[in-house]
Amino acid sequence: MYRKLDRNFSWNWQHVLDYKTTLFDKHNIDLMAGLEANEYLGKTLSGNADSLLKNGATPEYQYIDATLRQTGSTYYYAKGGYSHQTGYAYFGRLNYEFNNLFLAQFTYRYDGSTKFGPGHRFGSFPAFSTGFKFSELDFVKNSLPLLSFGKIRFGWGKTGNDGIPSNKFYSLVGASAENGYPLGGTGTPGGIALAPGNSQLHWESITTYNYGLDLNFFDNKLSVTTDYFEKYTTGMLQSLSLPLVTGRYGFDGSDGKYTDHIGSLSNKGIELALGYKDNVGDLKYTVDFNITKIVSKVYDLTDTITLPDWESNPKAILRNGDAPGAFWGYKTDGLFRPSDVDTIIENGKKRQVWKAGLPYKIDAQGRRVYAQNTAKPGDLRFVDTNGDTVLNDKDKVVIGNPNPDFTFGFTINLEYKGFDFNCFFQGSYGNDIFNTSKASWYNPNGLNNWVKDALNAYRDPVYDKNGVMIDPGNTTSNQFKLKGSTSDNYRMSDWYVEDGSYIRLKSIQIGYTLPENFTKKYGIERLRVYVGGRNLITWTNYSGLDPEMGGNDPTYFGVDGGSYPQPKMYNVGLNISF
Amino acid sequence: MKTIKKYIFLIATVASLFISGCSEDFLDIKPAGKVDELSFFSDTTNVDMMVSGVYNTFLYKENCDIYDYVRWWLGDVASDMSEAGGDSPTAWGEGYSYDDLSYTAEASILKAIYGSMFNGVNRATQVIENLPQARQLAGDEMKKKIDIRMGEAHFLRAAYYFILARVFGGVPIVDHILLTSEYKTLPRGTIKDVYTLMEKDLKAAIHYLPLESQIAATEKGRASKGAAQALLAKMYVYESSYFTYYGSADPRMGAVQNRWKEAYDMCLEVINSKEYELVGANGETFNTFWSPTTNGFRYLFSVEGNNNKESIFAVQHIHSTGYGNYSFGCALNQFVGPRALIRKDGSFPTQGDHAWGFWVPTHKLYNLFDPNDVRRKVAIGQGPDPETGYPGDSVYGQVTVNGKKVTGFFVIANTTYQATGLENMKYEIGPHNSMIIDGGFQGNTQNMYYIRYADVILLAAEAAMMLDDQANASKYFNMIRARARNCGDGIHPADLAGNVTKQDIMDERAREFAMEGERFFDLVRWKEAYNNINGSTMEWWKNNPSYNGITITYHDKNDFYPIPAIETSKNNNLKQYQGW
Repeated sequence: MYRKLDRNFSWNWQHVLDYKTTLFDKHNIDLMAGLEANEYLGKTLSGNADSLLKNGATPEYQYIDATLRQTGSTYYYAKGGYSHQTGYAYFGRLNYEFNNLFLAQFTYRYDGSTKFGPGHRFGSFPAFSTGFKFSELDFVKNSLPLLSFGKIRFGWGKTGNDGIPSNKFYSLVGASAENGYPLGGTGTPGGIALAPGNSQLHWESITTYNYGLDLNFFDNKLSVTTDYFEKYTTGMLQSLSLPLVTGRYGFDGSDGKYTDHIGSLSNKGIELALGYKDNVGDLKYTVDFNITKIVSKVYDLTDTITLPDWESNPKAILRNGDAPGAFWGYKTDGLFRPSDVDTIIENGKKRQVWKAGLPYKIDAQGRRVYAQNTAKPGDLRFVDTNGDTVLNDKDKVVIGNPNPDFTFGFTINLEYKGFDFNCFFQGSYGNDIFNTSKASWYNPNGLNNWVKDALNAYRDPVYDKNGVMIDPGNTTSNQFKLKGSTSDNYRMSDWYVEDGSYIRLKSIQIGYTLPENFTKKYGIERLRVYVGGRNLITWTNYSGLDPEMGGNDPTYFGVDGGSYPQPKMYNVGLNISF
Repeated sequence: MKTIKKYIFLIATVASLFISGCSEDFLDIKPAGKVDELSFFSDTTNVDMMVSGVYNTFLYKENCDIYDYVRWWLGDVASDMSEAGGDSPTAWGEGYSYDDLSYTAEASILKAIYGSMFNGVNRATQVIENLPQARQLAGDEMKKKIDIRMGEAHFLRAAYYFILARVFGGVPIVDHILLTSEYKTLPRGTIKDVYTLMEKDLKAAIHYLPLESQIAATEKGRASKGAAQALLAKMYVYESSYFTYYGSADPRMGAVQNRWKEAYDMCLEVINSKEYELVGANGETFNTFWSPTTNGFRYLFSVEGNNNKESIFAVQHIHSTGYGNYSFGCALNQFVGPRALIRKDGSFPTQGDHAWGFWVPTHKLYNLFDPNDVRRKVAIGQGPDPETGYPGDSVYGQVTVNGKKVTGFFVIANTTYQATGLENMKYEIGPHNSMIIDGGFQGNTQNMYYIRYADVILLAAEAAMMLDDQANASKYFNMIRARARNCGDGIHPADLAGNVTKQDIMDERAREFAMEGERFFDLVRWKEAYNNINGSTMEWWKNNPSYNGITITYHDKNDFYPIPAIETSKNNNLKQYQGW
């Protein structure tokens, strides 16, 4: 039996002054200024108890009192929480328009946040944008008759981000029963320091520059929109796991994490959108195509950060000059093969190693030590990139980039008499995906199903007791042996990294609208039937469930740990308007 | 009318702009439901909570208690005396890597140990640094209490550092609350650096802490003066061993010194305090679930024997189900108890799973005992042997028969999940098993020793031997044997005649502390790990050709475990030892 009571109280107070005027018939001015304050107070109280007094209880028995309420049981507890936030901002806007030819807008926000400490709470966020409809100029109209619309745009603006957990500038203590210790056979509560607060936290700022050109031709049938933008995120806020030596290990959630400004991120990109609409007799059609290329780079980092930063086996890295979220791991160089065999003599004993040509060191006992000392044929061969004959995290390199070379979309709309048709393709090219699920798909020791390709894995030849080969195995496979001689094969390496490019028929729909004069008879304004679907066809070489992955973390993405795929949907529908 | 409204609005707006002066205060929200560090540590009424929070590290679990992972995987499975166990050779990939020494710096158990032990070190440091200030304002009674809690914090910091140094060798020295600028720059200390801080802490603890007998029954489990002395004695033995067998030229060691005399004297401090005794030394018996006349050595490893006279310092456990990885109970019992049980009369098919069968003894350990040494039976269990007619050892457990849970004494079925065919019996707690009580595997109530009196006695014997004091060496050595004898048949094992040798000490420690997680660390300090582990064949899953007969290669790097890669990757001053 679980009961929960939530009580939230919030208010929002806004004052806005607006002033509009037109000067000399042609100068339109719109001036606005305001301020905003808000507060949120949330309280929760919940309780849980097991063993209902009456099984299959009717509503009058569905209360905590109507249970056995066994003290000491996991299921008998009360919990309560409290949260409090406030916000405060000043804002203003100035719009200026000249004769439908020139537009300019200036906005300003001065925003306060409870997430930051004294002296760091407010941030200034100005923005400016302007556009010039040059197609309205007479000489353009006269000299470029095919151009039906033309505008150049420029925008610059700063915005802020305070998306971090509350209270991260305070050093807090977690005092509770579970942080304590039993003494004399009875539990005593304990208090332990959570992550140290960061008094220097302030707004993360995002500055954007945008240059645009809009051109329409042939009576607006063909539209061409181009944008070039630069976006600089400075003072990126990141929740960080502190080094273990600080003694903040093993906390759930953000309690043990330190929040800090880690560095900056730049995104520079081009967007191009082409559209064409026309009709051939009764057939009306529009075709739209857009393509975006963004180049992202991390800079001004004070530290290199591997992500997720609490994991022993991180998958990505943030490093100055690299793309954000670049995949990080060992580089592989195929498999060890039986032909790599080398028979060596150590301390008077013969030993077989499969490391022909690889560097080694001699240990104190006179034995050879290779980077992968115990590896046998069929095991993955990792590149000892620093050549120190030790395979460790110093050998890790960037093994993939989750950022696409470009993304694109393509839409077709057709209308013919009562019929309509719409389809939308989207795609991404050149991005990599870190497919962590492969660890279980190719792992005979886990409880998961394997993939069919596991059958093609390397197998040793089998000999009978007379040394006659009874099964040649599969020694040419590039998939490592499933029961390898070490667990090394599952190290974070480029074995997990796959090309994530795809094209997807995101949506498609065919509809038919019954003639109006027919439906009107029955008092129906409009009646449309349609069939359609979403995510019906995907072209990709990616072996995981879905190359289209969500996620909005700008520093860690493209890692597929078996995330739930976009569902394929079919739909049939009927729209009726009366 | 309209105009008036307009003006009221305008005035209100302009007025509200003046509120802006207060907007900083308006945004100043105190953390909800949590205390901030300054006020917590400056309030002396929190002193018990501060120190319980330091002890708390001993209870932290990732499925199983991290403290027990140290003893189980690192301190024992890595040695020649036990194997990984479980229901299949690959039941626990990372666990297996401690058995065949293929673990890497990316191992998650190593990270958990390094992380949680430094949790303890930092929590203790916070208390040590903050309490003296709070003490100034306290009354006399409170001052006395604060001093004792200070002593506990000093002891605990040393206790956590001892684990770190045994596992990793030298580690960074946290002797003050770290500054943010130090988080990623703190260099690796040598073992001697760690021991220097430990020695300072333990001497402070000895100064502040009361005798075991002065600790009230309601406070049992707190560190005592004897605990600090015993740990200091053990630390002196470790330092002296490193000095004797490695020398201070070994860069891992630092300026370690010969301190066998101090070690011996410190053991005598504990012995002469008369605070502790070897339980069962005179053949006394105890009432436990095994029987009303359980021998003293078995009693040491029962719930009934928690905080016995031999327990100098032990991690305390009580039954609790609610907190998962934060449970006050212990999970180890469920992980390492015998896996399969059969009916006493051997009749099938009542066979059922009991515990999970990890951490199983090897025959090398089994054969090290005199067959009549009671300590073998307490440490090692085995199933029926048709060749010798041995009926198999009894285990109190719970099995499922025809969908019903049946509880009682059963017999080990060592053929079902055969690893070495032997089972770990020091963590059998019968009806106290929380799986039987409420189905929770982390709620067991057996305390886990950190140091027990037998250790001090054998350390005294070893130190005396190293000081060429054979009379005292054999006196203390044979005290251990006499206890074992008096807990058993009164005949075996016989006293050692003649001089005590290093080999005698090695073997006796292996017998006395079998399956207690001492062996690997002992082998390393004696520089005997290579001799005893390298080239040995893993006694593992005899019937499985893929795993049988794997030969272990021991490298010098295996003396200490690698510092977690996640840590070295964040700190360029933190260098791995050669080979990692």
